[in-house]
Amino acid sequence: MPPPRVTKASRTVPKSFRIDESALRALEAEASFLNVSPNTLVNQILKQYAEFDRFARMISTVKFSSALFRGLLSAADVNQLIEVAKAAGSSIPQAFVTAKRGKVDLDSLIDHVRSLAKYAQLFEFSDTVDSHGHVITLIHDYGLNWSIFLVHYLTAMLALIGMSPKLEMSDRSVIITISGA
Amino acid sequence: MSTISGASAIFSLTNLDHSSCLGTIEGKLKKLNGIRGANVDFVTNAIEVNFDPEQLTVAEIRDFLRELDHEARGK
Repeated sequence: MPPPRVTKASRTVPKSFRIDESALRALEAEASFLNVSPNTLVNQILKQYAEFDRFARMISTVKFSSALFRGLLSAADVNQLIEVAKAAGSSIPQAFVTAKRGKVDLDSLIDHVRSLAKYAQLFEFSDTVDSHGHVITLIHDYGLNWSIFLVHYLTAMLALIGMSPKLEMSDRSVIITISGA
Repeated sequence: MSTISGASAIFSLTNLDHSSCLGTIEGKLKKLNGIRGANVDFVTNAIEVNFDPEQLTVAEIRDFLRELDHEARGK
């Protein structure tokens, strides 16, 4: 059983680009505000694009406020939400990971869930790995309907590779136990 | 009996929006026993952490981040 992906600084390489002067001024101002180097900020912006945005573009995403997202979820009919979740879970992860990783397997699907936490801020994510498998916990503050959506999205997603994990949920969390992976 | 291989977590730092503090979170977190690596992403306001789940839990890390938030707001 491989350990979860290790967070460590990957190798950096020098590269020169010509960029728009106003964009440079904005980057330098933001870096100063955040108290980091422009180099660090530019690298993280490029990583967001390289690891998520260029694949998200393929499935035509939109951005709106978390308050609006919470409101839409609470207003949704649960049965229709479940149908949407099943359809999304059986199609979006496959499109996303095939474009990003070239194959659909457990590792690439977990990476997809991790990316949704890191780059789309849809929940907080943790993954504990031992010889029995993975325990993945998602924490959020979008209410029970979001947990219901996630349970059905993740069930449909893992069915793509023939897995039927144990899922538990509350109004703030979803726990996925994947045994024998 | 299971053998723990490791754990990772991604926390949102949406409430930790004090710019001068973001850069020090990583350093403070790395001093906790059981932390194997931490990386703050200033673009996504997330912190990615690798840790030893036999020494530290996700809840303990979340509490530590919340304490840093309280400290920062008290300044």
